[in-house]
Amino acid sequence: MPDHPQRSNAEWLHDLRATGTVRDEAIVDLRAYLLRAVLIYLTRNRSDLAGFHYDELRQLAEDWTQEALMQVLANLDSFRGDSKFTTWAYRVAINLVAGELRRKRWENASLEALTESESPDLSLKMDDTSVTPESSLTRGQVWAAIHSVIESDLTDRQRTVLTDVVFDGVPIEVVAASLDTNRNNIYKIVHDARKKMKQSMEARGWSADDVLAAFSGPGGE
Amino acid sequence: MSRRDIQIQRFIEQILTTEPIELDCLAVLDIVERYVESHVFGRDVGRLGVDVPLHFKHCPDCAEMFAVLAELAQLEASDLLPDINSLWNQLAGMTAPAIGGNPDPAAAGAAAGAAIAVRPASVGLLSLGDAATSPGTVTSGTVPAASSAPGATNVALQGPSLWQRLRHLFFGDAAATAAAGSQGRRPVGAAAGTVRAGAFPVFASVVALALGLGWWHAEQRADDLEARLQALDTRLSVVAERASEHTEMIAMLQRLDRVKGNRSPSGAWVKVHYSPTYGEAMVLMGKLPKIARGQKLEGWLMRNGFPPQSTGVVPDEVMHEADYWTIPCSTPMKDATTFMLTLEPEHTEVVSVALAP
Repeated sequence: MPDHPQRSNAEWLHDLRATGTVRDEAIVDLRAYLLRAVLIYLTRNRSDLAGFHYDELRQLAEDWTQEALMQVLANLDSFRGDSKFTTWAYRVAINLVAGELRRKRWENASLEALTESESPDLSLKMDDTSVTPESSLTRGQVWAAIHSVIESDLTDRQRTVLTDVVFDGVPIEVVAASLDTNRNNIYKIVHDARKKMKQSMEARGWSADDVLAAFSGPGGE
Repeated sequence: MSRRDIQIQRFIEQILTTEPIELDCLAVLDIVERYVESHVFGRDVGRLGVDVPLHFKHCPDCAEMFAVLAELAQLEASDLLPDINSLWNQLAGMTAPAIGGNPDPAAAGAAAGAAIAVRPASVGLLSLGDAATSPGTVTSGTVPAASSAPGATNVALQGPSLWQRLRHLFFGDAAATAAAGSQGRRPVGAAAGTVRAGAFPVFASVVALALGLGWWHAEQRADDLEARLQALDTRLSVVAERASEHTEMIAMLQRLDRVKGNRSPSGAWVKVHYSPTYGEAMVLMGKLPKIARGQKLEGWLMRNGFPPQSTGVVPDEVMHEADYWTIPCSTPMKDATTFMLTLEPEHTEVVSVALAP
């Protein structure tokens, strides 16, 4: 018997809203779909899983699957039917697991040190030996313009978000939690910062090609 | 290049590709599964085919979710979902040795199956959602152990995952390349030409679909269309926050920079949000005349000195649900361009909107 029985969207909703054996079987089937999605996510490019013990990760996978299952069942009414039910359920599961895994990866990092740093390291340390002097000059000028926007045009909160997310690679969820906001606002803050920086470049008449060429590494395109 | 160099280079690219208005994470989260299926099943996505990938370029987290959802949808559509045992085995090979010893993958798989069978968590779950279902209805005996279908094919394990490939495509991700190599897979970037030439047909198909542009017709109901229209005409951003359930509508409206409307003596009204630059228009209408059997409403773009250009028949769902209608609107908006609705086959003009003087 395949472990992924096929159901139409209507059948999923009907069965999951039913009672008794019908619902139980649908839940078991849905759980298998979600567990598979969680495992596929975990087995794809998760080099950062190396620090986990198998037992620990297996337990986490089961817990996340269970949590995703609960979320799906609690939000059946919000399923609009404009995709396959399983795709919608996958989204719930992956969104949950991805966020949890990113948080776990950073739970030992000192966010406090990141966010309270008054002068984050924004110096440009790229290797200049493999680019032309012109590119090196452009690179320095572009970075100076970016640095100027960061220092002069951004609020403290924007500067903190930008340095954490962009330069320190802190997951958005982690930064959002540390600033008591949500990931959407973090995205908007970074977007506003990018807009200001782009305007600054355009005001100086730099072409995108020139800027990209200046920042291409050895062997870059 | 160092990790920091790569981050800086990526950020520079993000700055250069910044648009004044971008979809945010919530908007993308609201549509991502439909966007995924549009790619996998070859459906048109219209303007979102530009806006969503742009968001992915700026948001690795959302791009990561898209990639894995696309892989899942592709595997499911192809009936190639891997069996759970093989996934447990693969996970065992990726992680540190288990506490108390290095698990034998086969034993680990069996243990995983057993773990599913005896795990009582779903029992607790059942008591949450449905009072009519007593806790404990699902017993360990009813939970199937992960199947170990002999000969099950797991094509996703034969090379870099779709996720890795897309991640590399979007970001040139060195980590993805390294991870692929470390797992005995072909590094994505090292021989991209050969990788993309035919070793990964799934990848090729997804990329091909990703490049496809067209129209995405979504079905969304409007709870209070009149009120929303008033707001749409003034503050799109405010509406975007208040009406997140109409994400694709907002996303399109944000691209459209002009609005014209008109009302007929009979009360029928039409508003056209449009952008000559993007060649898109969104038509909203209401109080349309009742359509007799055999009749239809048809849209037209009219220009002086040119024959009328039909924009098609108003879709049934728009008629019935007072929702919006997207139309191609590439005709240059000059020479007194007018959008007109006519009742066919009587060719009765219902209402017309002058889009350009």
